[in-house]
Amino acid sequence: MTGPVLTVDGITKSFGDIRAVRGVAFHIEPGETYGLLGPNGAGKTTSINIIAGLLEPDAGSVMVLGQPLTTRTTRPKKAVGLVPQELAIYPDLSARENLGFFGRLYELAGDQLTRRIDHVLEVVGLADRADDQAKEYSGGMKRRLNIAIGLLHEPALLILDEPTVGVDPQSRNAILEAVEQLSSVGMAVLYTTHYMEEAERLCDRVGIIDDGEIKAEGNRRELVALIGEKDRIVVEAGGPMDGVLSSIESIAGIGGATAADGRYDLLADDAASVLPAVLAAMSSHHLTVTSLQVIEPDLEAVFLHLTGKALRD
Amino acid sequence: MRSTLLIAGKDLRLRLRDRSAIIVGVVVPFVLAAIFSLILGSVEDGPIDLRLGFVDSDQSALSTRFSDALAGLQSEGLLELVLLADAPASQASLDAGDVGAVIVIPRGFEAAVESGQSAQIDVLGDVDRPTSSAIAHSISRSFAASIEGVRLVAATASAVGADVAEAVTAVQTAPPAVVVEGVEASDRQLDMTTFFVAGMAVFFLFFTVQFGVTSLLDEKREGTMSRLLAAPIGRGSIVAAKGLVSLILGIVSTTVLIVASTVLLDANWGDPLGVALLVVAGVVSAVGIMAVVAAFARTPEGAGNLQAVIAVGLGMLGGVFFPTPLGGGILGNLALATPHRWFMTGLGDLAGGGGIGVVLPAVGALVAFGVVTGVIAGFKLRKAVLT
Repeated sequence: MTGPVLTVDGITKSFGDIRAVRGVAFHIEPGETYGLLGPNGAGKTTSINIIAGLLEPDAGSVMVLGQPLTTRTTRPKKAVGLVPQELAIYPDLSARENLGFFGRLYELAGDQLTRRIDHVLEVVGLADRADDQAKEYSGGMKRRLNIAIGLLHEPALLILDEPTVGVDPQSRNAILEAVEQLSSVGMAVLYTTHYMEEAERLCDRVGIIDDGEIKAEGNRRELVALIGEKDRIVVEAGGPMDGVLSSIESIAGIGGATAADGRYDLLADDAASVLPAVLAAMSSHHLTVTSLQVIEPDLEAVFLHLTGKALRD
Repeated sequence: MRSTLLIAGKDLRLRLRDRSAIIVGVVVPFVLAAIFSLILGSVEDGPIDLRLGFVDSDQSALSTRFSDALAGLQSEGLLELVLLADAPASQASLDAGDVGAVIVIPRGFEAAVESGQSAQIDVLGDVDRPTSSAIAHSISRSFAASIEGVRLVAATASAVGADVAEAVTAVQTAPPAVVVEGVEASDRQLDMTTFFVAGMAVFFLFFTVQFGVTSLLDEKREGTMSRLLAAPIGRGSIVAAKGLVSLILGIVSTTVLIVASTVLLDANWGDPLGVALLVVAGVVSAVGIMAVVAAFARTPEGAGNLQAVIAVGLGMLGGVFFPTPLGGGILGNLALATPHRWFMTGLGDLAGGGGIGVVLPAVGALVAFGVVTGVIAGFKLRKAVLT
């Protein structure tokens, strides 16, 4: 496969006077997990609805595997698996019946359908409850079934819209592991969340969205560099402090250092690259390191810097 | 088409699983029709249970004529005549419930009539059987009126010098000047059992078909609409599937009712092809109307409430619980604006022995209801539900 799985080009959508999405543009390569990170009301779900062909944009376009996808096209939709934010299952049908119905809509049939159903039930851990009605499931199990339906037809692009909202920790971890597994086998994933730690764990690239616009885009390192934030190294060490600070400050890549009561607080452009030199300098001054902590600037900080608000606002 | 059938199949499975469609579409209307038929069917279908007592204390030619007239009514099967000895026997018979009313001709009745004095016929009634009393009064008044007529002729003949006896005989033997013919309307009417089954069938049909069209709102509320819209299927197939489910539920439930009522309640529906045509047309009209209601509702609950109001209102106006005038008058004209009325009229026409031809006007009206409302619903639903 050549070229991006998904290309979103300047999509815009208004509801009355409210401009929900303003010129959102990004692309996703095969095997890449792209995160749309933003608070509630940022425009994530509207963007997802346009990308999945549920809504028609006022302007802009969506291409899946090089083919335009709109509300009226059907063929490109076969390449997309949607896991909506709200549960989208039939509670009076069993997991197997839900999967069977949606699989047939995606033109799966016979042995192939049976195999795919068995496979996704294993992936989401519902194989032993496959014939129970979905209304008897826990919230987490329903979420997992919700994801299984999106995976069933092996889409080239899987869209997950806040899949872990309201999910217990065990199911949440199962969902994140499943997404990691899918990405590892080459599926492109578009993942929206307002949980920073999920975006950092899963996403190769992140688009930070707020007020319907993508404010910044890149991997975590690129985004952090964008706002000039530095890594922080905190070292606790015993021994004489004389001359230690000046030795550390002379190391290339150290942007500042303070010391008090055996605790050294350092700022570095890249903690990993300066850490050996820092430890060598301390060793040369006969210090005994008792603890070491590296604090990298996270997406939360980036988001705060770019939007002036916290992710969970 | 394939996706339409897939969605329709899923919906039918859900409907059968919760059994609501079976209960509303078949069980409830059949049970209600059977109950109505049992309670009210005997009023029309069976003979009138009128046992009339008669006491002839006068034993005159005139009282014998009255007795003969009553015997004539008995021979026509209109009443059962019980001859009683005297007034005490009459009261005992009434108290025992053996008769519903008693007509008493007192001693001296004929003499009073012939002398021009006021004569009297007594009617004893049972307060618990007012219909019997009313009939006894009516028969007695009729006999009194005929006596009055004869007496008038006699007086006139006497005044002009004619032969009174000849004039009276001529009047008594002459055929009636005016004959009121009772025209049986049964040639265009359903019998009571069939009427109630048909009424309940078309009434509950509107509740049954709503399961299909209202499920569009269920899909939206349950979130599954987003999956259907994201699937590689045409949007029209989603609406088409819901309409198809309504059609199937409506046709199957009505057909089951017709067959069951024929076998178990001896309902008479008339020409099967005509009935089939009417059923399909009736279901089309019900689906269209219920789809319009669903299209303008925001939630399944709102749609259900509105549909219930519409279904009950149309049903009452259309005469499914009690017959309304066939035409003319405000009620009659309003009834023509309901599919129920056309459905019942079509069945009535079939009951008169007609074939497919006689139901075509009703079928045309029903299909028109369905097409007009269906088109409106189609546009509205595509905008309101699928976007």
